[in-house]
Amino acid sequence: MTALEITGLHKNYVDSYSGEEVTAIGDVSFSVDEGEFVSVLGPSGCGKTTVLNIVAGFVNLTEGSVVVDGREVGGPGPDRGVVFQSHALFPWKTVLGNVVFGLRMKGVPRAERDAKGKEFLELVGLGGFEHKYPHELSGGMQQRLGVARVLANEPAVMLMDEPFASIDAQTRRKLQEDLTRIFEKRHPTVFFVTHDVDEAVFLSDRVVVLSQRPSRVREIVTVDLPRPREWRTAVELPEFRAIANRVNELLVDDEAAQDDGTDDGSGGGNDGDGAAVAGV
Amino acid sequence: MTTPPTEKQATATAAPAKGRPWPGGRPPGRQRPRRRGGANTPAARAVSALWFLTPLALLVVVWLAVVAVVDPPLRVFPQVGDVLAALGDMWSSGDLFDHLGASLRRMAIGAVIAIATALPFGIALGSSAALSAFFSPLLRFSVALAGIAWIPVATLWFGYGDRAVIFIVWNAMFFAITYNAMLGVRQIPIQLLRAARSMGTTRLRMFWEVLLPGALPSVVTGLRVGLGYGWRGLVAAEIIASNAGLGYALFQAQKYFQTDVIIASMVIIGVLWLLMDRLMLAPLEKRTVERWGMTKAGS
Repeated sequence: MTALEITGLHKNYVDSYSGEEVTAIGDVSFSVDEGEFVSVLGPSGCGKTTVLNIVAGFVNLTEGSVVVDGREVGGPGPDRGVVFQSHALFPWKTVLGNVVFGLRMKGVPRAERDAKGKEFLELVGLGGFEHKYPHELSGGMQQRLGVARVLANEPAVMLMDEPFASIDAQTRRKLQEDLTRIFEKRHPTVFFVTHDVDEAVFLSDRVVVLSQRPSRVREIVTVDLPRPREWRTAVELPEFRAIANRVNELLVDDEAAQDDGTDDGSGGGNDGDGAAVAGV
Repeated sequence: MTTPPTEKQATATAAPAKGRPWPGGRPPGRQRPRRRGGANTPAARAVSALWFLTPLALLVVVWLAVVAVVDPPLRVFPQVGDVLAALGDMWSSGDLFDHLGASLRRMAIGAVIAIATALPFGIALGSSAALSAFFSPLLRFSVALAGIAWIPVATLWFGYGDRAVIFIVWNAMFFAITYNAMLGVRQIPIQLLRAARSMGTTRLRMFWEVLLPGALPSVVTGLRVGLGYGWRGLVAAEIIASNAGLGYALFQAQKYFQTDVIIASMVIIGVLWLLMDRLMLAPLEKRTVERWGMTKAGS
């Protein structure tokens, strides 16, 4: 069953400094099945985070449609939980207070939500930290809490916006394995935005490769690596390298094409990172 | 989303009451999250109290020495002993408690009304661009006039007495608290607001769940500044519009050249402010903003 269906997504916005109309997303369509892990990958500034923000309901789309669990998206809602790069935990709430926040908003009785909160803290390896505050946790633990906070809410789809980008390389590998383990255990539907090719391939069932801005879908690459996955064995699989190389080629091709196209122009085609995120 | 820092500095520097007047055992700008209970050991507390009291003790020593050397007549400036004697008289005659009671009651009522009105207003301004665009010019206009400048109008409206003084305390506090609450809301990272909304937080619940706690570091600053303004407004209003209270005592003493009573009243006002800061604001800050690791760098 399809959990998330994006059809003909198009986004224009007016740059607040220059006043020019910018096309962030040209034409993006793809879907995510229930219990599927799909990554969206693209060169920096391609508008992949904008796609996520539109699905989350933080940003309005210009044209097209986004349907989650059979309902058209309009504004944020608890059916779409978001894990942010900045963690976005509530500093004034304890670890447990953060995990049960969504359940509290739904009006779930205390005993029930606390039990559920603890269950999800155990799942992400934060059992025993219930009464700490977020600032007392390491960056990696904070992001695991961010994941638990969304999963406890049992959304139709979990949206993850480069969740491990601000975390050091060693911890990142560990977190990716943790996330894979959690995914293999509970099978949530995941929409994962990243610019890290290996990360996308390691985690995903399918990888949606976007082009430069105005973004469209270049290709959807299926990752049929066996699960459970762990880094130590995955990197040695020839299939893993083959898929990662394929994705890399798609990205490099696209950049080369873009460079050719803008050489005789202002050459500003590649530094659109800030502009594309400006509407976010 | 970020606001120009100049605005904030303008309000902050206009208020001498901003922040902790003395480093209570904790040098400013080095508020690192520390282990729980670390600063609560008896030894740490003693050191903290010592740091707090030493400058005050030095002031008294300088006062003693200067008055002893210059030897001014009592109608110009009193010696430390004179002030202590005046305090003793005020205590035994019961005047102290009458004045103190009147002032504290007005302050408490004015402050409660100010907090109850200014916090929701400031948070509403912070969360709505349209509202703040509309009210910002009015707010800025009113900041310079807040408090004391309203005394003539207050006496016309409410006559001489409690109500005029309470109005002045409210008025003096309102704008500082509103302004800082508004800034506080604007400083909440947008991701936090989005996280809350994507977990189904309704507009109404946003106030208690996210906006108020998120704005708290700035709100505490607003309370400090506002309470400082409130005290000054209280004293000024009592001088003009009342027949009881510390401001009134101050003013009466001036008529009879009782510098010892004047200084005694000033000491009481200052000590009350310090107590309020140490016993109410500092613990509030410790239990919330500091506990949550939300202390602002360089504040």
